[in-house]
Order: sequence, then structure tokens, then C-alpha cells
Amino acid sequence: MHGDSVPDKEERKKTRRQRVSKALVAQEPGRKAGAQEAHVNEVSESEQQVADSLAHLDKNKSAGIDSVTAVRVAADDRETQRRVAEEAARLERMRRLQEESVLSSRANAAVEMRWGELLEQGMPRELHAEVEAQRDACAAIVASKDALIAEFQAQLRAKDEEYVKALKAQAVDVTELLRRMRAEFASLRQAYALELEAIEAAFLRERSAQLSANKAEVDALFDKRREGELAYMEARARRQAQYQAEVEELLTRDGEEYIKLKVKLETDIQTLEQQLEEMRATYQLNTEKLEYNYRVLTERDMENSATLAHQKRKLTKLKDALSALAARHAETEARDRRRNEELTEEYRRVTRHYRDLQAKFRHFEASDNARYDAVWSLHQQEALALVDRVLKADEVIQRQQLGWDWRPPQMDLLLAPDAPTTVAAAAAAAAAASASPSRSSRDGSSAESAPAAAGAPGGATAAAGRAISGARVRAVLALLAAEANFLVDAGPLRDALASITATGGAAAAVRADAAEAALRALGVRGEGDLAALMAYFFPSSGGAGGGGGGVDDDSVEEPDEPPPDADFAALGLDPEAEPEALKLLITIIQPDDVIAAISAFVADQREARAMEAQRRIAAAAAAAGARARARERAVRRREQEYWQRVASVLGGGGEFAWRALEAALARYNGVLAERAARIAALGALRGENAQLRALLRGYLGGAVNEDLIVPPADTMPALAGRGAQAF
Amino acid sequence: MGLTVGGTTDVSSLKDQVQRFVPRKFEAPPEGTSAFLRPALDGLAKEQLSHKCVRTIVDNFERIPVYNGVPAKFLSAITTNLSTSLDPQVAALYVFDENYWKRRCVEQLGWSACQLIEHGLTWKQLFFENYVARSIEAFKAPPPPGDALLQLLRSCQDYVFTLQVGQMLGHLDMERVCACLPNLACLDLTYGVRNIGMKYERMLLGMKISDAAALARALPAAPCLTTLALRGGLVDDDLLRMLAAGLARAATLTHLDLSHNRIADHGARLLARLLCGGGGGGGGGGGALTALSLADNAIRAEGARHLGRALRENDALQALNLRLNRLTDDGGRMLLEGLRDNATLTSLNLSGNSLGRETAVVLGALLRSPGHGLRVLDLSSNELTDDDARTLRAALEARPAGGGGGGGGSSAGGAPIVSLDLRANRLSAGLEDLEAIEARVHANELAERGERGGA
Repeated sequence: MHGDSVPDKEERKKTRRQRVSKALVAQEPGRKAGAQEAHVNEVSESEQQVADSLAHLDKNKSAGIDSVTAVRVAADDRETQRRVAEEAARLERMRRLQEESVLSSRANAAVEMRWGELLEQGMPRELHAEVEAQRDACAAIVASKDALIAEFQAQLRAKDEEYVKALKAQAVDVTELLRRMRAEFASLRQAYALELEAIEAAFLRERSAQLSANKAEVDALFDKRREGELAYMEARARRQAQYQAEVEELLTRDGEEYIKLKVKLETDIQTLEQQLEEMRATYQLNTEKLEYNYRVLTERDMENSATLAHQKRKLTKLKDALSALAARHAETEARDRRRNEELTEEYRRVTRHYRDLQAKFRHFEASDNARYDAVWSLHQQEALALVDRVLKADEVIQRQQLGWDWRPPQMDLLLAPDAPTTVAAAAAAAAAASASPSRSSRDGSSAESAPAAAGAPGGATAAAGRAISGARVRAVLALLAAEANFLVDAGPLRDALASITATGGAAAAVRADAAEAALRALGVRGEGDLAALMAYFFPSSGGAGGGGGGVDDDSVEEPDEPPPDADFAALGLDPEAEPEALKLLITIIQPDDVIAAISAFVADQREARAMEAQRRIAAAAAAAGARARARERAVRRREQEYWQRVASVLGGGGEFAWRALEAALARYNGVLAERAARIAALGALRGENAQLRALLRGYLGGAVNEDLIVPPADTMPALAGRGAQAF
Repeated sequence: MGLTVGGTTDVSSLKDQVQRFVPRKFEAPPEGTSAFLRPALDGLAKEQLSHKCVRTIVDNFERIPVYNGVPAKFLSAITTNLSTSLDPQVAALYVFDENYWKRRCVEQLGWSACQLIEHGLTWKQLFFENYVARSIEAFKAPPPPGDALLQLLRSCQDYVFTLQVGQMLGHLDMERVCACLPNLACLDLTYGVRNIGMKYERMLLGMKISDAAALARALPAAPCLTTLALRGGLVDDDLLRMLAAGLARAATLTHLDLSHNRIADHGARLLARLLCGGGGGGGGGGGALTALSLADNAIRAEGARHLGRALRENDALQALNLRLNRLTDDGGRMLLEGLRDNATLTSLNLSGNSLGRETAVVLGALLRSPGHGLRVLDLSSNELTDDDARTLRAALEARPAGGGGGGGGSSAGGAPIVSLDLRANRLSAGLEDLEAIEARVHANELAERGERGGA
């Protein structure tokens, strides 16, 4: 019974859905109406039908639901009423039971009370009567109870019947419900079919109306089209005729134009054919050329490819070589390293050897010194004797042969080889008259003061050497100042130059400033460097590097100029000599080569300095030994100087005088010998001449001469006259 | 221009189509044409090995269920040829083909009994729910129940969500049954005998105390039970008290149907406490109830008072059915007074309760109040008179017609009444007020449907 609300719920849902769709459908035309006003009526007709149908169905359905649920409601109602009645009956039963119990209990109490009275009763008859009465009372109580029971049992039976009736009623209800549902289903289906038909009919009506309207519209459109076509045909015919005329006219005109055009075009064709032929020839040529080019290019391409292959091969080969070289390089490196180690080992051995040698050397040095001293003392006496003889000879020559005053040299210098340096240097300055500028620069301070003390010829020659050098230096400096003023700078060389340029005069002073700067820039720091520089400017003086070179400087150079000019050049301190020196310089070295000379000088100087630096490092390494050796070298030099002084005790001038004297005497001897020879030859010739004269006289006086047409004596006078003159 | 315009369009194409329309026939494949039956006709010599294998598998499926290793293309062949009398325990585990289950359902239950929509739209579920229900109904042995039935339940536990048992002859221990069916969502038990007719015996009907105790224990243990129906089980207040212990702890329960029982005022009080959020159990159960049916019970005015008080606090219940009770006029009044502030209850059935004038007056006041949520109201088979109908009409018309209140009636009054049944009352036929009420209710219903359609 609980589930019977389900079907009507379902049906309600259905109706709701339909109503919703109806509402939606009803809204649709309303929306469309604005757009299609012409169809409002038709649309609304069918829609109206649909809405009506839906409403009708809705009503039917709710009525059906009501009729179906009415069974349940009626049953509920019955049940409610039954329950109300049942409850009332129950209450009645309770009341009856209560009443009966009250009555029976009252009766029971009365019976109980009577029992007490009964015991007091003595008379049997009365007792019997009383007992009967008691029994009657009890029977009455039982009867009333039985009546109640019977009544209840009757009610129970009635209940049973009622239950059966209820079951029957339920069956009847169920069948009724089923019947109604079926009937409702059938009627609903029918209603739906009817409504569907009605709707379809409405739609069909609407459609036919629409179709007829459309057909009419289409017919009208076709009529319109036909009329339009007719009008078009007529217009077409008219236009055709017009176009025909136009066409004919155009044909005639075009015919004429055509002929004209044809003639013109034919001529054009001819010219074009000619051009075509030309062009063909040209193209033929071009084609051949291009073919040739093509062939050449293919050849080249092949060559290129061959070259490419070759290069590739070469590349691989070179790669191989590279790898091989790398391998060899590694090998060589390893070998060299090994060799380096060996050499290092060798070096160590050599160093050790060298040390041994040094020790040996020192030993031998000491013994040599001892022997040297012995030899020295041996030879000194001999030398002094020889000197004495030379001086005597010199005195004789000077006084007797040349008639000069003889001034003996300072003998104390010759006797003191171990004298102080300054004294020795002062003495040496006189002896080393032609010494190099470097030597003179070293002893410069003493040389300046020396001339007064030194002999006149010696001093003169020394001064001459300096002057020559000074002149050249000035010339060089002038050249430098002219050519290389990019080197100009100022510095400490000025003092060294000052000694040279002091005699140069004011004219040179200006240039000297510039030259001095140039020299400084070249790194010339003293007269030694200056002399070295000079050597570059006068390349004839070969090894200008050492101190000995400086000695050669003058002696070698002197042959360039006549010997007497040496003194003259020595007098060239005056300004006039300077341009000559410059000229000379220019003949030796072109101004263009100045820069080259300078650069060569600078390079050599650098080398020299580098070597000096090395030497200095070496000296520093063996400082003590080097200094000792230097001192020894100084001693040796002094000794050397001593021996030189001894050797040249005569002096340069003296020797020179001797040599000149010897040469002059030799020449004089030669002249005398020749004279003697000639005198002898003259005597012989006089004799011969006398003989010949005699012969001639003989011949001339002969008889033959008479025979001759032209006697020789006639031709002789000239000859005879000349001969006469000669003799 | 001689051609006829629209010559072909004269005929209605729609009509043509209608005339030509032939209903589509759904032809079932003819029996016995399956590819796996033909070889048998041709002779065993020509039968393919695969077919032979399939036949062997089918023949021995009950003994040796082979399913996993079989290629997919033979599965359908196997299930097509499987017997419908296969042991359900085996079939539950190894047969998954819906066609097989459809075949089996139709053969065993008949088409009319197969309401697929009530069984999760799967034939297997349908079969097993029916099969289990029938097995339980047929179970007659005295407790303890046989292990065979429980084993069956265990084997098909994945496919049973709804259990509708029409009769309980054996009084099965529901606790054990529910323990075997963890997926159970809907339990519908009828403690009685079907079609008993005149063989009525008192002992055959009704719930026993042991049943109530077992059910009370089973309810909290069922993890997803949402619907419980105990109809026609002669449940009285004592049995309900035992059940209430379980109901109070059944947190997932939303639908409770106790119709056709003998619940009286005390039982109503228990249920009222349940509705208030399980005041008795404390487990939070019952507070989620959305539908409660107490139709055909013996609840009187006192029970109605309890229920009314519970409804004042409850905010979950949507449908309450009190058909065929003994509320009387006083009880109806007290119940409806409790509904004044309840906006969740939408459906109320009070038919067959001897309601009268006082109830009508309170109902009129309720319908005017803004807080109520009532939409469907059934007042048939009561003792309402013409005056009461007038009162109700005035109350309904105090609220503007449904079309005006677009916002669901929250402005002027409460929710609009869309269904009101007043049949079988003491009303004179053809009463004007009655028609007015019907018209108003109909208008409300249309308005609501329009709202829903619009939405």
C-alpha cells in the first residue's frame, strides 16, 4: 500500500514535463513573431492546438490520478472509521468488564456475608433453603459472567468474519484498482492518440495553407519571369539588328586596314628575316665559342679535381709526416734531455777540473813570479848599460852631427820601475807621445800638466796627437749635429767635451752643444767611447776597440797625409784647419752614411756593454782573484812601461831624427856614388869622342866625297852645329 | 513555358514519409546459429580445436572455472554457452559477462520482474539481489543459519547493494547477514508471511526480540547502510526501544520506514529523540534522517507532541509520513505547532488521523508564517469541515499566487503549497472554497514548474 503513491508521482512528473514543453513551445512563436509576422496566424494555430491538447491531457491525467488514488483514500477512510469504531468497541468492552466485575464482586460479597449467617442457622430446612438461595446467587453470578463471555465470543466471531470481509474487500479493492488503472491507461492512450491526430491535422492544414500560399507566390514569380523574358527578347532583336549594321561597317573598314597592314607587315617580315639570318650566324658563332669554353671548363674542372685529389693525398702525406715528425721530435727531445744530463755531468767534471787547474795555475804563477824576478834583476843591468850607450850615442849625434843642444832624459825614471803610479804616468806621458786617446784620457789629468815638464818635441807631438784627434772629433761632432740632431740631449759628457772643444773656438761651441747632446744620447760617456765612435767614422783605422787600436789610429792614418803635414795639422788648432778636417771627413764618410755608422756604433757598444756586464759578473764571482790579477796586471803594465821607457829612452823625436838622418845620409851617399860613377863615365866618353872625331875627319877628307853629287858635308852643318852646341 | 509550376511539390513529402514509415524491428538473433553450435551439426571430425576447447571449458566450468588465461575472443563464446543453472557461487566469482546474467535473469525471473533501474543497471547485481532475497525468504531452518547461505552471501557480496526480503520464515540472524554484505545500502525486511490468507497464525507474524537485538547490533556495523525499511513487522514500543539503540549509532542512515507497525506514543518519543540528534544513543545517528515513515501505527496525541518538539530542533528531515495514526485533533495541532520554524520539512502526510478544527486553525497560521518549508501536504480521510476549508483557503490566498513569488516564496510567506489533498473529509460536495484551494495549488505548481523549466 505504501508503494501506490509511486505511479501517481511518475505520472505527475510526466505531466510536469509536458507542461514545461508546452510552456516552452508557447514561448517560441512569441519570439519568432517579431521576425515573421506573416506566419503568425498559422504558427499560432498549430501551437494553440498543441497547447490545448496538452492542457486537455493534463486534465485527463489529474482526473485519472484522482480516480486511481480514490481507492486508496476510500480504503484509508474505511480503515480510519473502523479503527475509531474499534476503539469505541474496545472502550465499551472495558467498561462492560469493569461493570461486570463490580457487579459480580458485589454479589460475591453478598454471598460471603450470607455464608456467615448460614453457619448460625440451626434448622436444617431453613439451612437448605438458605443454601439453595446461595446456590442461586452464585449461579446468577456465573450466568452473568457466562453471558459476558458469550457476548465476547460472539464479538470474536464477528471479528473473524470482519477479517474475512476485510480480506475480500482488499481483493475487491485491488481488482478495482487494477481495473481503474487499466481503464485509465486505455483512456489516456486514446486521448493521446486523439490529441496526436488533432495536432497532426492542424499541422497538415497549416502546411497545405502554406503550400498553396507558396504556390501562388511561385506562379506570380513565374508570370513575372515570362514577361521579363518577352521584353528581353524584343530588346535582344533590336540590339541584334544594330550590332549587325555595326559589324558590317566594321568589316569594310577593317578590310582596308587589313590590306594596308598586310603590306606593311610583309616588308617587316623580310627585314626581320634578314635580321634573323644575321642573328643566326652570330648565334652559331657564339655557340661554337661557348662550346669551346665549355670544353675548356670541363678540362679545367677535371684538372681541378685531379689537383684536389692530389692535394688530399698530399694532405694525408703531410699529416703522416707531421705525426712522424712529432714522434721524432719527442724522440729528439728525449735524446737531448739525456744529452743535456750528460753534458751537465760533463760540465761538473770540467768545473772540477778547472778548479784543479786553477790551483795548479796559482802554484805555477808563484814559481813564475820568482823566476821572473830573477830574470828581471839579471836583465836590468844589461839594459841600463845599453841605455847608457844609447844616450851617449845620441849625445854625439845630437851635438856633433846635427849641431843641436842635447838634453839628457830624466834618468831617475828609468831607474825606478817600482815608483809610485803618478810619477810613472807623468814620465810615461812624455814617452807615449803617440799614445792613443784612450791612454791619454786615462792619464788625462797628468797629461794636461805634463807638457811643461815633458820635452819640447815630445810635448809638441802629444799636443799634435790631441789636436788631430780634437779636430776630427770636432768634425765628427759637426757632422753629428748636422745629421743626427734627433739624438740631442744634455748630460755629463759636457765636461769631457769641454776639454776638447775649449780649443775649438766660439764657432764650434754652438754646434758642440748639439753634438754633445747627440753623443750623450748615443751613450758616449768618456773619451774612450768617443774614440771608439771616431773609429766608426774613420773606417781605415781597423780595430778601434782596444787600447792598442788607439795607438794605430795615428800611425796608420798618417800615410794618408804627407808626413810633414803632421806638424802642420798639429798647428791646425786654428779655425782654418777645421773645415779641412771636415772636408776630409766628408771624403771618408758620406753624410748619408752617418746614421748607418751611428747605428753600427750603437750596436757594437751594446755588445761591448753586454760583454762588459758579463765580465763584471764574472769579476764579481771571482772578485778577490780578479782584483789581485788586476793589481798584478797593473804591476806588469808598469813594468812593461818601464821596459818601453827603457827601449824608447831616446824618445820618438830622437829616433825619428836618427832615422831621418840615416835616410838623408844614405841618400847623400847614393848621390855621391852616382857622381863618382858619372865622372868615370864622362872620362870614357871623352876618349871615345876624340876617337870618333878623328875617324870623321878622316872620312870627310877622303876622295870619295869629291865623287858624290851631294857631298855629305853639305848636309852636316845643322848637325854639326847642333853637335857643336851640345859639346 | 509549358512546364507546370510546383508539379512535384504538390504532394506532401511529409505524408509520403508517414506512409512509407515502417517501424524499426529489433530482431533478436535466431537461436542456434551461434558459430560454436554449428560445428556440432557438421560432425565432430570437422570441429576446430579451439571450439572443442571452448566446449570443454563450458562443460566443466562449474568444476574447474577457467577464465583468466582464455583469449578475449573466446570469452564471449564461453559465456554464451554457459548453463544458466550454474552454481551462483562459482558464477559470481568467474563470470562477468552481462549478457550471460541477462539471460539468466530473464530465464529465472521473467521479464516483468527485472527492474534493471532499481539494481544499479547491471544484470549481475539484479540477479544476485533477487537471488539472495529469495534464498533468505525460502530459508526455514531454525537458527543458527546454515553455513551454505552465509557462504553464498560472502561469495556474492560485491554485487548485493539492495536487499528486499518479502517474508522471514526462518528469522535469520541479520547481524551475521549484514557482516557478510559490507556493500549493503538498502535493507528492506518484512517479518511476516506472504499470501497467508486464512492460514493465519499469530506466531508466524511479527518480529521477535532476538531479531530486534540482532538488527540493533547489525545496524552500527553496516558501513554504508542508508535505507532501512521494517514494514508490517508488528514492531511495538519495546522492540523499537531495542532497535533504537542500533539506530542511534547508524550514522549513515537517511531513510527509515517503520510503516504498518504498532508503534505507540512511547515509540514516537524514542524516534523524536532520534530526530533530535540521537539524544539517547549519543552516537550521532539519526540526525541525518531525511525521510521517516510511520504510516499505519498507533501514535496518539502524546506521540505527536514529542514529534512536534523534535521537529522544532531538527533541520534534516524532509519527508514525514504519519498516515493512519491516531493523532486526533489535539495531536495534529501540537505537531503542526512544532513545524513553525522548520524550513527543511517539505512533505507531510497526515491522512487518516481524525484531524479537526484546531489542526486546521494551526495549519492556517503555519501557512501564513514565513519560516515553514511545506510543499506537499496530504490531509485526506480526516474530519475537516467546510469552515476549516475556508480557513485553509484564506491562509493560501494570503500568499500571492506562485507566479508573483519568483524567489520561492521567501518574501511574503513560506514555501508555496504545490500539492494539497483534502479528499474524504466532511466537506460538502461542490464547495466553492475547495475549488479555490485547488486552483491556487494548481497555480503554485505551474509556477514552480515554470521556475524549474526556466532554470
